[in-house]
Amino acid sequence: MTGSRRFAAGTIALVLIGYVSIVVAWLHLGLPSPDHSIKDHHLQHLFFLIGGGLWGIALARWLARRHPHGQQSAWLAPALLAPMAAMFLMWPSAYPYVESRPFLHASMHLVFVGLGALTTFAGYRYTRVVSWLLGGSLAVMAWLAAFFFGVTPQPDPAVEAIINARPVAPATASAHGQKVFDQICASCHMPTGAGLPGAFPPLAGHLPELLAAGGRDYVKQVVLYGLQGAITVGGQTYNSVMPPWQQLSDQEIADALNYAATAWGNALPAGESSFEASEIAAARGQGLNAQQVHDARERVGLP
Amino acid sequence: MSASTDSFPVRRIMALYLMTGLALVVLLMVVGLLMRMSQAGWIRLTSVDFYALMTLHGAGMIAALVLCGMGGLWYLIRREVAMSASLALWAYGLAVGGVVLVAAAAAFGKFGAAWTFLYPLPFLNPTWPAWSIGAFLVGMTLIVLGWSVWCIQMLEAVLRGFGGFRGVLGWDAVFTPKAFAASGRKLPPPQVLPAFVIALDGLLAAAAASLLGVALLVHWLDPSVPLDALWAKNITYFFGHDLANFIIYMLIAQVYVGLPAYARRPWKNTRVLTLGWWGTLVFLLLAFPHHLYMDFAQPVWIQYLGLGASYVSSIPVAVVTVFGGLLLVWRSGMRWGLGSIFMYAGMAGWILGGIGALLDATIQFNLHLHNTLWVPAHFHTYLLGASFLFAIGWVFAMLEGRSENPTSSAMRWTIGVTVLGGIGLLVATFYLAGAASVPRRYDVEPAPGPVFAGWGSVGAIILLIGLAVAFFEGMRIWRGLKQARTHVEWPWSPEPATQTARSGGGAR
Repeated sequence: MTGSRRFAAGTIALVLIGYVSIVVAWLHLGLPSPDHSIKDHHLQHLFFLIGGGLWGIALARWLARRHPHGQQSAWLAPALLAPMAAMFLMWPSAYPYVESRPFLHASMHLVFVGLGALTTFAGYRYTRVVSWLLGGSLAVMAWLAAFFFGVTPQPDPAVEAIINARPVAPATASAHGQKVFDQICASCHMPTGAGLPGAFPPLAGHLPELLAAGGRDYVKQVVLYGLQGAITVGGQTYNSVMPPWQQLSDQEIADALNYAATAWGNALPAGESSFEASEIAAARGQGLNAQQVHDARERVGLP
Repeated sequence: MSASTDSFPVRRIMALYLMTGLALVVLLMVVGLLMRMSQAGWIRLTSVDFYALMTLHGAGMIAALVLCGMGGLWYLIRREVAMSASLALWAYGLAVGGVVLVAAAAAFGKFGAAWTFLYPLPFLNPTWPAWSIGAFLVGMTLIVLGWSVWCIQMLEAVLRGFGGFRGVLGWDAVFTPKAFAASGRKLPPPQVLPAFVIALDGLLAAAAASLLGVALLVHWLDPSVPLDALWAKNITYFFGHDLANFIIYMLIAQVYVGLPAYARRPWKNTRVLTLGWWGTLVFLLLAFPHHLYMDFAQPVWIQYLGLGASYVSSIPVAVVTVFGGLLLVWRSGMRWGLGSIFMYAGMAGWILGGIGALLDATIQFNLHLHNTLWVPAHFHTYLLGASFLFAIGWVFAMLEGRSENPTSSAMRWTIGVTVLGGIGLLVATFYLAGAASVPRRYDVEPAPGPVFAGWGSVGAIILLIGLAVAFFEGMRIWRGLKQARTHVEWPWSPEPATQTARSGGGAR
C-alpha cells in the first residue's frame, strides 16, 4: 500500500470509528431518561469524547497533510484545558436540569464531541504522539469519573458484615450515640473513652466529674464551639484544640453525649438527666469561640 | 537534531527552577523545625497553626523539589535536543503560581487538610474558611497544569531526539543485542531514561489529578455532588505517590551526569540499566495501593498488586544505579568536591529510604508501622537525605566544574559533617519514634514522642547551620567565577546523542 493510500485509509478509519463511538453513545445507552444513573451518563459521555477525539486526530492529520506545520506550542493550552472543561461539564447535579431540556441536552452532547476533538486536534498541532496520549488520558478521566464523581458508593455486603460484627453497645448507652461517637469523637478520645495521655483528655471518669461540678452547659458548649487552652485532667495537662462540631444535628450531639456519659463505667450523677436535643438547640446561637469556652470551664471551677 | 549545548539562557532557566526550588526547601525546613520544636514542647503552636504549617510544609516541599527536578532534567535534555524555552517558563510560572495559592491557603486561611487533602476532610473542618479550600484546590490544579506542560514537552523531546519509543526504550539493544552492537548504534545517554519514564507516567498521573481537581472543585462549589471517598483516595494517591517518587527519579538524572564529572568516566547506559527503568515505567503507576492497606473496603487483589509493584518499580533501578555508581568511583581517582560528596551521600540515602519504604509497603509491617512516624522517617530519608542532596550536589557540581578555586578540605569536612550529620540525626529520630509506635500527624505526641522531637529539632538546627555555611561557600565560588570572567568548560560532557537520535523513526 502506498503512503497516500495508507494515509487515506487511516484517516477514514479514524472518522468511521469516531462515528461509531458517537452512535454507540447515543443509541446503546439510549436517550437518557431521568432514571438513568449518573454512572451511565458519565460512560455515555465517555463515548462522545472518544468519538470526537478520533475525529480531531483525523482532521489534524488531513490538515497537516495539506498544510504542513511545525511544532505549535500555543496549541498546548487548549489541549490541556479542553479535558478539564469536559470534566466540569460532567457536573452530576446539573444532569436532571439538562435532561429536561432536549435542545440543551443535545447541544451538550455536541459540546462533548467538540471538546474531545479539540483535545486531540490541539495536541496534534504540537506533536502527533501527544494527541494520542491526551485523547487516551481524556478517555481514562471520563471512565474514572463514572465510578466516583457524583456517585454514591454502593454498600458492600462484606464490609457491612465487618461493621455489623462490632461489639454491641452497652445496654445503658444508645446505639445511635455510640455510632456518632465512634465516627466523630473516638479518633481523639479513643473508642474506650480513655483519651491519649498528653494529647487528648479522657472522657471515662471525667465527664461525670464535669456534670457533677455543674458543668452541663460547659459540656454542650465544648461540643458546639470547641475548646482552646490548657486544661488539667487527672493531674495531666492537655493543650490541644478541639474543633467545634456544629455541623452535627442536635439529636446526634445529644445521643453522643448520652453515650459518653453512660459508657465505660460512667454514670450520670444524681440529679442529672439525659441530654435532650432541645437543650442542644437552645445552646446554639451563643456565638462563642473556643477560648471563651475555656473561660467557661474555669467558671465551673475545674482546672 | 542535536541542540547547541549549555548556552547561557538555557542555564538561566535551569537556575530559575533550581534557585526557586531550593529557596522554598530551606524556607520550609524552618517551618518543619517549628513543627518539631512544638512537638518537643520547646514552643507551643496551636493545633490550627500546626496543621496549617504541616499542610504548607508537605505541599510546599513536594512542589519545591519537583521544581528542582524539572529544571535540572530540562537542562540535561536541552543539552541534547532543542526544546522551547518559553514552554519551560510557562510550566515554571504555572507551578509557582500554584505554590503561591497553596501557601496563601495555609498561611492566611489556616487550611490544614495536609498535602494529601483526602476527601472529605477539606470540606468537613469548620476551622478554615471556604475560600482557603478553593485557593488550595486551584493552586494544586495549577501545579498539575504546569507539570503537564513540562511532561508533554519532555516526552516530545526525548522521542524526537532519541529514536521514538523504540530508541528510547532500547528495544533493539534488549531483544537483538548482537545486531544492535553490529550496527554501531548506541543506547541513549542514561539521563534520557528517567526523562522518558517520568514524562510518560507523569502525564498519566496528571490526567488523574486533573479529574480529581475538577471533582473536588465541583464539590466545593456544589456540596450536593457526592464523591466516592475510596475512589477519591485511590486517585489522590495514584497522583500523589507517583509525584513524590518522580522527584528522586528526576534528580537521579543529575547524578548520572554530575558524578562522572568528578570521576572523569562516563556513566554509560546498559541493557541492565534500561531494563531496570522498564520496571519503573510499568510498575511505578501501580505501586500506590500500599497507601491503602488500612482501607479494608479496598479489594484484596489491589493490595497485593500494590505490594508487588512497590518492589518491582523501585528495587531494580535503585540497585543497578547504585551498583553503577560504585563502579564509577572504583579506582577512578575520584575528585571529592562538595558536589560529589552530596550526590554520593544521596545515593546512600536513596537506599536507606528505599528500604524503609519497602518495609512499609510490605503488608505485615505496614499494619504496625503505617500510622507511626516510620512513614515520615522513610520519606524524609528519601526526599531530604537523597533528593535534596542530589539537587544541592548538582548545584555544587555546576559551580565546582567551572571553578579554579576549590573548596578547602576543612570547609568540605565542616559542611559535610553538619549537613549529613544533621540529616542523619533528624531522620534517625523519626525512625526510632516510629519503631516506638509514636503516631504521626499528631500535633501533641504521646511519650516518648517529645523526646525524639527534641533531638530531631537539634538535627534540623545543625542541618540549617550546615546549609548556611554551604550557601556562603557556594557564593564564594560563584563570585570567583564572575571576577575571573573566564569560562571554564564543564569538565566532562555526555556524549552527543546524534548517533542514537538518527537510529529510529522519531515521534513525528
